[in-house]
Formats: sequence, C-alpha cells, structure tokens
Amino acid sequence: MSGLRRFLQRIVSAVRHDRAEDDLTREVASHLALLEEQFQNEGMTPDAARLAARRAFGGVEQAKEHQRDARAFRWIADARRDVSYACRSLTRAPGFTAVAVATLALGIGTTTAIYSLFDAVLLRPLAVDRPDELRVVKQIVSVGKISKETTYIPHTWFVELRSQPEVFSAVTAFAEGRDAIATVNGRQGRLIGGAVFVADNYFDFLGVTAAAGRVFATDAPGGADRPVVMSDAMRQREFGARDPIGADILINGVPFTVIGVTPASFTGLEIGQLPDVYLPLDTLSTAQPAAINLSNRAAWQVQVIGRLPAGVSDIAAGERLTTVRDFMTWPKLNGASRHDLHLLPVETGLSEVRATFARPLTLLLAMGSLLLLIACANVATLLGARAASRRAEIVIRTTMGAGKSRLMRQLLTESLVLAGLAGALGAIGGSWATQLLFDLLPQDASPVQLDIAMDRRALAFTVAISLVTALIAGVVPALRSVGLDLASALRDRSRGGAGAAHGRPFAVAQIALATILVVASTMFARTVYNLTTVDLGFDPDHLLQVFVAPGERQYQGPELAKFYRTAYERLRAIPGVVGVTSAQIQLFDRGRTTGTVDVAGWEARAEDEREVQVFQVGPTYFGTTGMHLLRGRDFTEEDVAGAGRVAAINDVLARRFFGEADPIGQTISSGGAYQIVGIVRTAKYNSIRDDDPPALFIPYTTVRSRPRITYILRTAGADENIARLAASAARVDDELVPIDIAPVTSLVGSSMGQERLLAALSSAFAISALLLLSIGLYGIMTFWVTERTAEIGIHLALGAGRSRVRWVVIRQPLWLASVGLGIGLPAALAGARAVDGLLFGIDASDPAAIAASVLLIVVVAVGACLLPARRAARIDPMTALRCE
Amino acid sequence: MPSEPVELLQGTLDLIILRALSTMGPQHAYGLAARLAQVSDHPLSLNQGTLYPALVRLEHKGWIKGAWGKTETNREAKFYALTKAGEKALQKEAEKWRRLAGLVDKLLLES
Repeated sequence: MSGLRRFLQRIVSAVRHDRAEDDLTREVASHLALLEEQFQNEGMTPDAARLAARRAFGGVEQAKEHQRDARAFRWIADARRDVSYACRSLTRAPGFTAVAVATLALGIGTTTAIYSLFDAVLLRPLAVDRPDELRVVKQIVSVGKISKETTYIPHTWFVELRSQPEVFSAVTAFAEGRDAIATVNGRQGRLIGGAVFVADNYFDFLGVTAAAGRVFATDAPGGADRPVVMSDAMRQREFGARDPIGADILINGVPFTVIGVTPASFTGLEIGQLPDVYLPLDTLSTAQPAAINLSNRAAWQVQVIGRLPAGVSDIAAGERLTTVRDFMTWPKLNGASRHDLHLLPVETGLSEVRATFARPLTLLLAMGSLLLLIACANVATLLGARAASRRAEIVIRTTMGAGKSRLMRQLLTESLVLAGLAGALGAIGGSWATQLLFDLLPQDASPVQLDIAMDRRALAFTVAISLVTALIAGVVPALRSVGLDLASALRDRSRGGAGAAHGRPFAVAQIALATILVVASTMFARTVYNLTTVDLGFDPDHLLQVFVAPGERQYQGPELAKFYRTAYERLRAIPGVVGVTSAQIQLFDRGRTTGTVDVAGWEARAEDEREVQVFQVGPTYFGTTGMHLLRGRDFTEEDVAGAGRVAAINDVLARRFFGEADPIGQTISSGGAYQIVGIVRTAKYNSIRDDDPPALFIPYTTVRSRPRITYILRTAGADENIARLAASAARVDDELVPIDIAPVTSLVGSSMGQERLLAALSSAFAISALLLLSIGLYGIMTFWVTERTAEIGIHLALGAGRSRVRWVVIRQPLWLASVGLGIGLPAALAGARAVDGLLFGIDASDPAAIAASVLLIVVVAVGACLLPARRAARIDPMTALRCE
Repeated sequence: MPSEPVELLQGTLDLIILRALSTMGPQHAYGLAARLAQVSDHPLSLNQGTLYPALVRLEHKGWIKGAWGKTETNREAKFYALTKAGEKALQKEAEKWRRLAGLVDKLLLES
C-alpha cells in the first residue's frame, strides 16, 4: 500500500517537476540563509559567513541532484530530457516538422472523420432488444425479366404469421406514413421524421418502454380513441418543458391524443430515420392520405419484422416461410412468373439511408484510407531523408560514447513526439471534419437523423498507423548508421545517394495511390458536369413551387374550390409572376404516382408494360413549366373544372401505345376514359437520372377528402422577393401556412447532392494527394542534389552542360511517375468499374479522364523537381569541390 | 576533544531524523542539522545538504510531512513534522536498531 503510494508520489513529482523544483530551490535558499545568520551571530563578516554557510552545506547542486534522484524515477526524468531534446531537434527543422505533422494530421483527421460517419450510418446496431435476431420479410415478384423487390406485404399475411410461431418466435408489423403533416398547438408543419403506423405489439416486441406516459400495449390497446406515441425529439421541439400527455394533435387532419413519449435512445428501426409519431396500425386507413384498406388481400400495406426462434437458421426459417406462403395467395400474383420470399437482417434490409449511402460512404472511406497511406508514405520519405542526412551526427555521437539504446530511445522519442503532435492535431481536425461531413450529406426529401460523434477507436487506429510509420521510417534508417565507423561515414557523406534511394519506393507508392484519387476525382467531376448539363425537358430557372395542404384545415367541397381559386388569383397577382399552374406532386419530388393504362387494340406483352407515371396537373401546366408541347394543346381552366375528360401524354407513352399512329383524339383509360388532346416531349420529372418513363397527364380535378396542392410559379427574376410575397399570398386562411416554398433549381441541385459530395470530396482528396506528392518529391530531389553536389560539380567541371544536369534531375521523377502510374492506373480502372453505378454519362474507362489524370500526375511530378533541377544546374564547380 | 568522525550507516540517518523530530517537534532542515551537530559533539561531519535525500525519502514514505512556516527570526523555512505513521515507524525502527546494536555489542565483547 505504502509502496504503491510512494510509487505514485514519485510519478507525480516527476510529472510536476517544476513545482517540486521550485520548492527545493526555496528550501535550500532558506537553509543557507539560516546558516549564514548563525555564522554572523558567531561574529563573522557577511561575506565570510556566506562562504562558511556554503562550506557547511556542501555542494548545493549535488544536494539538489541527490534529492531529485530520491524524488523521482530516473527514467521519467530521462524521458523528459529525451522529449525536450526531441522538441529542440524538431524545432531546429521547423519546415520538416510542420510538413510532417500537418501531413500526418491530415491523414488521421480525414480517415477518422469518414470512418466515424461510416460507422454511424452503416455499422452501428439498432437500439432495441437483440437486434441481431430481427429479420424483415422481403418479397421479390418477377414478371418476365423484370422483378420488383419490396418489404411491403399484405396485412393478412402478418395476421397469419402471428398465429404460426414456427417461422418467427415473435412478429410485429408497421407501415411508414408518407408525407405526414401534423398540426400541433394550431401550427401546421411537415413531420421531419415522418409518421409510422405500428401494430399493437410493436413496442413490446422491440423491448421499448415509455419515457413518459405509456406506449401501445398488446393487452390494453389504445385507451384513447385514437392514441399517438410521440418521439422524444418531437416532444422537445413542439412541447418544450410542457407535458404533452393528453394533448390533442392533428396528423394529416385527423385528431389524435398523445398517450406517451418514447425514450431518446430509441431511434426506430431505420438507421438515419427518426419517426416523430407512432400511430396505431388500424388508423392507417383513416390517417393516411392515400388510404388503404387493411383487409384487402391484394394490397401491400405493411412491413413485417420477426424474431428468429432460438437455434433456427435463416435458411430453415426461410423454408418454413415458404410453406406458410401457400396461404398467401394473391390474385395478382397469378401473372407473376416467380414469387420469392426472403428473410433479411433488419439492419441491412430496411434502412433506406444505409442502402443509399452504403456505396458512396464505402468509397469515401476507401479514398480517405488512400490519403492516409499517402500521408504515411510521404512522412516516411521525409523521415528517411532526414535520418540519412543525420548519419554523420549519429556516427559522431556513437564514436563519442553514446549507447546504442540511448540513441535509439532518442530517435524513438522524436518519432513519438511527431506522431503525438499529429494525433492531437488530427483529433481536433477530425471531430470538426466529422460534423462537417455529416452536414455535407445530401439531405433531400427526408433528412438523415443520426447521432454523430467522432469515433475514438478510429482515431486510435489511425494514430497507431501513423505512429508505426513514424517509428519505422524514423528509426530504422538511422540505426543503419550506428554500426558505421566515423571515417567511412564522413567520407560517405559526400558520395551519398542512400537517403534519396530510401525515399524512392515511398515516392512510387505515393504516385500510385495519388493516381487512383486523381482518376476518381476527374470521373466524379465529369459526372457532376454531365448531370448539370442534362436537358431536363422543362425550364427550371425562375420556377417556384408553393406547397399547401388546405385539406388539413378541414376545407372541403365548395369551400375547398373557393380556397383554390383565391390562392391561385392571389399568387397570379404578385408582381413579377408571369404564370401560375398547379400539380398534385411537385417537380423533382421523390414521390411519384403510377397507374396502369389501357388503349383499345393494344396488347401488353407483360403486365408491367402497362405501368406509367400519372401526373395530375392544373391549367397551362406545360406552358408554365416549359415542357415542350409537340402536338395538340395545353390544359385549360375548363379542363380542370371538369368539363371534359381529357388527357395529355408524353412521346414515350405515345410510341409505346400508339406506335406510328396519331394519338390525338384517341381514348386512353386509366381508372376512367380520357380523350388525348396533347403530346409533350419527355422530361426529367423526379430526378436527373430518370430514364424517360412513359407519362400520362390528367387535370387535377379530384377534390379528395384531404387534398394538397403545389402551385408552380413562373417568375421574371427576383425569386427570393417573390417567394416572400408568395408565402403571404398563399396564406388565404391565417392559420394555413404553406408547408414549403422552394425554387425548382434547388430541388434539382439537391437531387444530385450525392454526386456533388463525391466530386467535392474526391477533388479535395486528389488535391491533397498531389500536394503531398509534390512535397515528397521535392524533398527527395532536393536531398539527392545536396548529396551529389560534389559529383555534379565534377561533371560540370569536366564540361557537362547545365541543361544536361537539369535533365538528369528531371528524368528521375519521370521514371518514378511511370512506375507509379503503371501500378496506379490498373487499380484506378478496377476501382472505377466497381463504382460504375455512381457515374453518369461517363464510361468507367473513359480515355479522356485517364489521359487528363496521367498528364496531371506527370506535370505535378516534374513541377515538384524543377527547383532542385535548377539548383543542380547552378552548382559552381569550385565551391562544390571545396566542400569535399 | 572531538573524537574521529563516524561514518553513517545506511538507514541510520533516517532514524536519527525521526528521533530528533519526535523529541524537538517540527523542525526545518537547518535546525535538524544543528541538532545533529549538537548531540554528537560534531562527530558526524556531514554536509548539511546530505539531509535532503533523506527528508524526501521519509516524506514519500509518509512518515514526516513538510510545510512552509516562519522561524523565530522571521525567516521562511520548510518545517518537517512527524506523522502518526512516522511515530509508529520510529518505535519499530528504534526497536530494530537496539536489537542490532545489542547483537553487534555482544559480538564485539565476546572476542
């Protein structure tokens, strides 16, 4: 016990060196003063007394040193000395230190940040009971060659699965509420995290208990007439410190009563999605805009999650599921050529965020790791050159009696200090970059909600990598010099070559790795360029979308028609608005409505051939949006008022259903018969990557129970100002705030957010890589020239031309670059093929992109060596020879 | 007439310091050195600085505790006092020393 305390005290005093040291100095001074006083009292003169006091005390420094030894461990004191020696030697080469630390910190920070995000999005388990047992049922329906995958199945299957414990030991169901709008305390707004309709056993099944109030329970369903459980995030946002229990809120215009709040730790079943409200599954048919009847055996309404029984494998459970399937007949499936049911782990099977970001994040992680490797190679080059240039110093020190272990400890300490500084800097930069990276994630329709923090394991790992690099690269080459004798070392200094040679493999590695990053960045930059120059088929500039939901305020029938009329006229009257139309869904909204169509005399070869996108639109839709009318006419107010049942089609649909015949005046049926009055050129309706779907346009006349409408405004510039005016114009009713107002260009922009992110980050990585590469090459070549000053001097003295000397220097990076490119290019091309799906309008082996990358690498490599080459060419033979 | 200087045995200095602190109460290093000189009629011609490692050792063992204070002549000095653990240790060490001294005495007298 006391041994331990003494040990600790010695460590403490070793660390708190300065305080103990001050204390000692004070104590010794006071001791000497007292002695002096005594001698003066005995009658000595002050001077004599001082001397006598010193004599009586003995050696002051000796006493101090002894006290220090007793006070602390020698090795800690030695370590302090080593660290301060390392710091001094590093500050003597500030350029080297700054570059090495910054380089390593860049690699550490970047990789840590990306890994943190990678982990949060792709690896972290769900915050529920035993998430690894959870499986989601997925069905794959094939019709001909086309197959459809969905995790939605009929509700009746869920009822059946619940009664058959051999597949799942427990099972629950839920359905996502689309585009949910809530009215809380009289304020209307889109639910950020959305609504989820859940079965009564949902919370029991997941092992989630209420943080306040209660959650739905199997034995006590509801309680309130229409109960709702709220997320902690929503409670904080909407209720603050107030108690939400018992509050009445409207979801999609339907009243609900809050019965409980989920704990903050529960974030739902989808990574990155944090539902705001949980509603009973049986309210699905009333509270969901496109209401679905749960007893309809032909509709896919719910997602089902089950727990695998103990000891049952995925395969066994899947087989049992197939036997149950016999019950799950479904009329529409008769046309299917294949129908498979699969069980998928919930973590991978359910999350859209995971599915969306899995590839880009993996790619980013790979690129970040490449950057870390480049950083390590770069630092290894620098350290190697430094160690070689210190060979003479080391040999002199060994000759003068420095022990090998002592030298090694000093070199190790230096590497440790370097990596430690870089680690600290990387940790600061990394935590900042993690947040930045998260903010950069494209947040379109449904924002990604995640708890993001820098991952400490990743930080530790990356720091460890740089530490090992620094240790190996810093110590090994230096130790080679230890065995050398002084004379040969000093003689060798002028012959040299070893230092630069040591750096060469690292330089080649850097070039190869940088090639991959440069190729990736050119391809992604090209992808973004291609996306921005795609012809959208309409004119997105100066187009403003105003989304309102009057149905949520109980507008119905004639009142609703009056609302539409008033809003339309008020928007039309805004100065600067040159055209107004309306639509059921926004342009570049992720949601789409599909329907099946029939044309007399046309035979579908497969069921899905009849499937088209259906748009319900207002008057002058094509004129206002700028969609190109090929034949016929635009919709008029009379069409929308319901005078005649008319439709327009796009050219893709026309070709498919009418071939060469003229569709104008023909009849097309989709839940009713329509007469075709116009044909428009196809456009990108939902995203730039749309592959020209067949589209049917019908007038937006249907006055449903809870309608929403988007007004599309064509403006003559000054969009922001008009957006403000539109917000108040659309507010026909004081409490009816437009849900959102956005220029179409911003929606188009955010639809390629992922590509922009990849392009921006890969460019940043490529630029960093090239910067590091040029620093590394510059270092190697400068060192090479310095080592060979004498040799070059002799060549010059013997009549070699200066341009020849310059060429000898420049030739080397060219040689290194060709080896590096030889390794890097095949790797880059293989990588590009792997991420083919993320590219747009560019082939994975695009010759232009590759040529540009090669050129860039060569230019950078040669550029980095121009200065050393010039220096070599300017060597004065006489000075060089005198250096010898 | 002072006798020949005695070389201190390892560990005896600690005991002497503990004993001095026990009889005189809290003392600074100078006071301790003066006390040592006084009781021994100057046979321990030790450099006064030699006290410091011993003081640190005893402090680390938790037997004495140092604190800054003022002397009678109003100079600042670090005063060391015996702790509870120190008192116990003194008893034990003194006992050990007496047994050892007795043994040595006996051996010396025998011949």
